[in-house]
Amino acid sequence: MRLASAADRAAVTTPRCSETGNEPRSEVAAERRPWDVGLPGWFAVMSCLTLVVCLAYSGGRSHERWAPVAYWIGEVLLFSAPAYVVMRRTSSWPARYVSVLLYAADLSLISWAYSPDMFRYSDELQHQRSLLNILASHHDFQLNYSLPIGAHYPGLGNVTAAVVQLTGISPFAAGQILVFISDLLVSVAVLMLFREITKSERAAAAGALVFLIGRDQSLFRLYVYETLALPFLILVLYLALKAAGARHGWRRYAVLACASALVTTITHHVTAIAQAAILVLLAVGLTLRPATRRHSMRVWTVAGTAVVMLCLWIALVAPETFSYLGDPIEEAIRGALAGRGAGTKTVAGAQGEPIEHWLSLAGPLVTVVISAIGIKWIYTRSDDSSWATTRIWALGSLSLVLLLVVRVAASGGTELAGRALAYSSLFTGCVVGYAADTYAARLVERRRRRTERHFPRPIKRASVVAASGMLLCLSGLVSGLPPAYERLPGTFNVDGFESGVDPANISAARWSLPALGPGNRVFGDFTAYALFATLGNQNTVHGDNALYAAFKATTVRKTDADAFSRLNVRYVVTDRRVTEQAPVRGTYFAGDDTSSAASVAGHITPKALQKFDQARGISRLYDNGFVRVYDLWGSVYVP
Amino acid sequence: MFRRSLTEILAVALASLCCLVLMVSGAPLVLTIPAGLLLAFLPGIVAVCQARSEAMGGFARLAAVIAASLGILAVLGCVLTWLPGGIDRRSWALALLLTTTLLVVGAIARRQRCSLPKMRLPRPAARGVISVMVGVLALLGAVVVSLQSASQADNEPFTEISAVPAGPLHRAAVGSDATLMVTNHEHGFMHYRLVIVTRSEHVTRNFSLKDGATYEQSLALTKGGFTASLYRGDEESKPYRQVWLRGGDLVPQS
Repeated sequence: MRLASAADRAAVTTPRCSETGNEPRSEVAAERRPWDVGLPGWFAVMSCLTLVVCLAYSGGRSHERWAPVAYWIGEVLLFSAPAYVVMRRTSSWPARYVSVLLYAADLSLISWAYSPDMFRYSDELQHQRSLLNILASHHDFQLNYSLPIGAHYPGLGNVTAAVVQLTGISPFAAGQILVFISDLLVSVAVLMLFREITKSERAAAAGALVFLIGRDQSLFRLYVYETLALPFLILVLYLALKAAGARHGWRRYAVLACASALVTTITHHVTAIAQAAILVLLAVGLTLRPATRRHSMRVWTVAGTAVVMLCLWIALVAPETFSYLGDPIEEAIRGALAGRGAGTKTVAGAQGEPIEHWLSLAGPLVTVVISAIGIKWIYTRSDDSSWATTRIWALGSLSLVLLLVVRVAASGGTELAGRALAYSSLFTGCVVGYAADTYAARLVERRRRRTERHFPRPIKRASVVAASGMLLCLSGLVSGLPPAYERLPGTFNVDGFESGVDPANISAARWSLPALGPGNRVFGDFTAYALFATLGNQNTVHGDNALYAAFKATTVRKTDADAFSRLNVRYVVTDRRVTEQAPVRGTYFAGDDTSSAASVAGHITPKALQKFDQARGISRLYDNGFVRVYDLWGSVYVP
Repeated sequence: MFRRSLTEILAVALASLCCLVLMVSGAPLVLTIPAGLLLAFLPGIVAVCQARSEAMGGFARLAAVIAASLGILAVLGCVLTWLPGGIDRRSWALALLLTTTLLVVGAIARRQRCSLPKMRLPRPAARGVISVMVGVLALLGAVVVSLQSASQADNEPFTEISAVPAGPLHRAAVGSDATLMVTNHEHGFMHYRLVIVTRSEHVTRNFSLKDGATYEQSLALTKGGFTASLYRGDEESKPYRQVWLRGGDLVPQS
């Protein structure tokens, strides 16, 4: 193994002033800039930038032309402020940590401000249905037509139900409070974990910022079960590392880690699997090194407990997990073998201008490059046993490359890789943070050793760090949620995620529950599928090409009637706006059907909807001018 | 003994008080919100206080309290679901009181003192106070702007009409009843005319609704079903909204 150069060693082994916060007074004074306003000042700045983004959302609702500009200015500067505080040499560690926490809180507030009166995103509505089922039945494990697997992982529902029932506030308010608390908990846990691994506050804070800005993290600011499970996964990893490194009382850390692992297990399947996998990886890594082999048993204890809990939960409570996760993986492998990979194309409408497409690709590439540099620096450090976990973590960051391969090669790779990125970011975020910290420390070291005439060079080099950070920020923003077509709220888009939800289709979905009762077989476009299953608690139908063709047909044909009767469809929901706009997601219907020719080919014409008015025996039960609900009973569709 | 365990006993007393408030039916939100939140987080606070957490930093302690509280609620819900009372306010209150008590008893039995975190707040400078006030005002402004703009969003007005036959399967049968409902979402007061046409009769109803109000009418189904057309004000031509019940021209009730 190549030894680190003297300069490198000096840079990485000298206690950095920023880590201790004990900067010599004269040096701190020399470093002061007019914009060094202190932590309260940064709080004011970041709050004002949050206000700018909220004003942009407000402007979007009233279709103001300045709104997109305000949005981008607000978001970019909002990231720049904590990034500056974190990377500044003279910042104390509380300033770094608090600025990261403020950033997490502001992002959470912005996520709420997008839809401040109710959940509109389809995944959030699915989890709200699980919560409403618990509140109505007073028991877990109730059938949720919109997300059947969700009923078997009741952690999120239990905690939200407790807040609703104990305080009396609405489910939406309780859900938002929980999301906010979970976001803060994730940030604190990530800071603690990265600090434990990198042994540097600046690296931890920089890594946490990179982790928070990742495209995958926008999903974790929604009311979904991953949001609650993720902080517990990070805590398990932190506690397992503490147990491994503790001189005394490692059992206390191991017990706490196992307790946290239990919460992850009952809250979210993929996070629980990721937890078991990362713990096993960590334990194997520690076992392979003679210096840490003795302590690896502690991590094996936690890993073994997590695996046993996961297996027991899946076997006894949630056996559906196999089919829920197995089917998409099987499909992805088959697609990869058959050469039907997703490639580098994005989900329709996810990115607006071509530059957004390139930015979304640049983010992962920059992460890969910086991670590679970080791995090199970690492996050229002194081979101290206390750096064993850091080295294992550096290896873990290679999972990003694996995910990029899955993203390109596998069928449905966009969805699979996107979901798994959150767990990979735990490695890459940390390594990128370490690389940024080490690079900054080397710049300082070189500046100290050189004369003033070389001063401009480090500034140029520092701009590389700033540019990389900005690229990661922009990439995270353009490829995260909400997608480009609904980046600002206020414009109705047919079959958009949140922009396709408006009072007309909300009213129709809400009407269906008391009027029709729960669990009816209902078919409609994507928005109807999402809203009737969640707000209406109906058993909506999707994923059948023959049904899509039957819906689009302008006349009632025998094959169309067979498609409806084969799937026991009783009610059909139509929205006349599907005949006026092209579907913004590239398809009118639900599921991963953008590859399905039947769902994509052709637009829905007014005649296609009129056939339900004209077919004999069909009743029109509901009409609000936009949305209509038809009962097929007694017609050729349901003989 | 009593003096040494004063903090622990205080925690149980506080949990009992919160539990009592939550047991009172019809307690106002100003009481239930603080009592509920305190009771939800009390087991977590007690657990972290007695877990020899003095060595932990402020951030770690904060994370530990939040994580312990959320974790206890998540697991407790899985236990409550198997009990006869299920998951409701009463069960939560009693379960959390019991959990707090057990944690306290455990601490006393192990002769472990519960130490509350000692917060060392920085001395506020005038410039810092002003900055914090500006920040808080900006955040409040963000909340107000978001709520106000969402409530005034440019949504298209509409009126909904529905016809739902009675019965468990909602199968329209001759002789059974159906319910007609009209709800106004037009953002203002509206006059409507409802025309119901069956094979044998033609009935007209005039009514007015304020925004958000609902008109409801029950009618008996006859063979051939009915068509209900809704007109706005004095409009004569095309119906504004229309529903009908046919169901294979309606089956005779057996």
